[in-house]
Amino acid sequence: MIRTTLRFLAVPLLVALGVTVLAPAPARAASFKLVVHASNPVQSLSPDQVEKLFLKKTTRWDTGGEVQPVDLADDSSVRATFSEEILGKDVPAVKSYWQRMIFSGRATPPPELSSDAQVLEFVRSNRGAIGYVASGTSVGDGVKTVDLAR
Amino acid sequence: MIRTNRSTWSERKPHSGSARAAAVVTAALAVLLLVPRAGAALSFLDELEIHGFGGWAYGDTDGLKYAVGSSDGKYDNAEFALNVSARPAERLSIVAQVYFESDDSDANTNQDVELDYAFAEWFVSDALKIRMGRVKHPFGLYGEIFDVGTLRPFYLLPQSIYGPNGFTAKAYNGVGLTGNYTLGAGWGLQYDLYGGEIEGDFQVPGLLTTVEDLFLEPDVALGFTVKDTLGGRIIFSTPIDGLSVGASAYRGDESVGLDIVGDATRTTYLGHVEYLTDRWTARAEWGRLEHDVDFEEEGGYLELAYMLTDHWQLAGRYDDWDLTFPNTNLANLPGIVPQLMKHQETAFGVNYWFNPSFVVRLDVHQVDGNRFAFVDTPEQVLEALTTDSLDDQTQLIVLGAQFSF
Repeated sequence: MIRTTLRFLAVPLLVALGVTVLAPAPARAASFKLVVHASNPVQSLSPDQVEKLFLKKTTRWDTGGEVQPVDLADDSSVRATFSEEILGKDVPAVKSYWQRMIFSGRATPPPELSSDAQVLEFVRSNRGAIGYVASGTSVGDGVKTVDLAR
Repeated sequence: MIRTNRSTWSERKPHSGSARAAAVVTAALAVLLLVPRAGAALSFLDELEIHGFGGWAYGDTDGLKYAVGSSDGKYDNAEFALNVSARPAERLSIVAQVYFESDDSDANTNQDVELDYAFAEWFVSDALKIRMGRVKHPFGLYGEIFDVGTLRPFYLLPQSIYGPNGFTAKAYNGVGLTGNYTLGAGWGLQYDLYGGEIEGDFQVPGLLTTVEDLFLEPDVALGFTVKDTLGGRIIFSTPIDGLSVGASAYRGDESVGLDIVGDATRTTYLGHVEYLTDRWTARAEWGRLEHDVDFEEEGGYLELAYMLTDHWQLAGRYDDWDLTFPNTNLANLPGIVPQLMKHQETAFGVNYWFNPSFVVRLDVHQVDGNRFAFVDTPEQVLEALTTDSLDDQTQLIVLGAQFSF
């Protein structure tokens, strides 16, 4: 029976595999800027510090308040760039990281918001928040930009 | 498969307690979901998160039964878990997970519903968090994510470390400390220290129980409890992005659900290496278990996977595990006994990831040895004993899907 099952499955699998391997990868490009609540005294952060904040390895600001990272939705090109450049992983790998954290009972992922405007509103409403938006976005009152000290 | 000391077994406090606790957690979850989101409950419910995972597989072997497969094809392999976390206060987290299984015939559980874990964590700092309750067992690379199929490249975990040999357990009941440090120069450290009790099951061919009444049983599931356990895990993240190395160990007073095996000190230790990139997944673990002078087990695995595209993944694994009885004379036992103490496995898999939360798999396993590959009936055991011959090669094919949310 096992040989029959294998034969039955092998041909369509190999065909589908070949088609997908040859498919072009989607293009990515979008720069970003970091934003925090206007009352947050932080002026600049290194990529390593930002990574730890967004992966919840560092959960308190130096002032003692809780860090509240916020993400863009997983189909956002800005998030793709942020994940690659700051977290050192693509978005699916970051998703896997959060699955590991959730199911080991260690942490839950940041909220995912669907637009820059929603991220800015979240940051404006939460003193410990940190987020990222497309670099050309106007941040408005109650939110400030943080330098990325590369 | 039979279970020994069934009356004692079914009355064992941890398991009966688990069933009750699982029912309580499920009921509590239902109540929480039904509470109107208004008034004082709103802030708490906004901090409540519900996640879950599950899977199903069809397993087919060429003769013996092994893991999720049997010789006539096995469809009844479905599982689901519900995970709830809440933050009733800024520094307090409550986490619980309930696990449901369609088939309770494997050695990891003796019931179809169980409480994986339920614990409270008090945040002191990122370097120190205190955990109390039934806590996920921080042991090895997969210990805390035992059944989460979307976090591994095969439907099955490596049987050497995580199979029905009782090397580790899903949770400990007790108190633990955990935290992470930044060490500088790209190094980081995550640690766990815990004390309490570990309990679980393991599965052995009837012959290896050395109990005459059980000789003809294809396999026997035994419960074990390790009391007064002290254990820990340490994982170093390295300056090489994605590479971590670590070690896990625990030691305690073990009792096994078999009269002939006396209480003893169980000592286990395990080394682990993991390398994760967007495309590559590489894991290796090697461990050893000592049950005083009665028996020892040793082995490990190497697992590699590569994402060919954003969807297709190829995976391979070599797995090796040996059981020994250093002070038992096996000369009087049948000649097939050595192959009952050995497990070597080579596996290949093709995965299609619809996204990180849903994967469809086709895995092929070639097994050498009968430590975990069993015959189906006592009559087949008798035939093996009579002829002193048992097929030590087993092929398993698994077609399955796993998901999480």
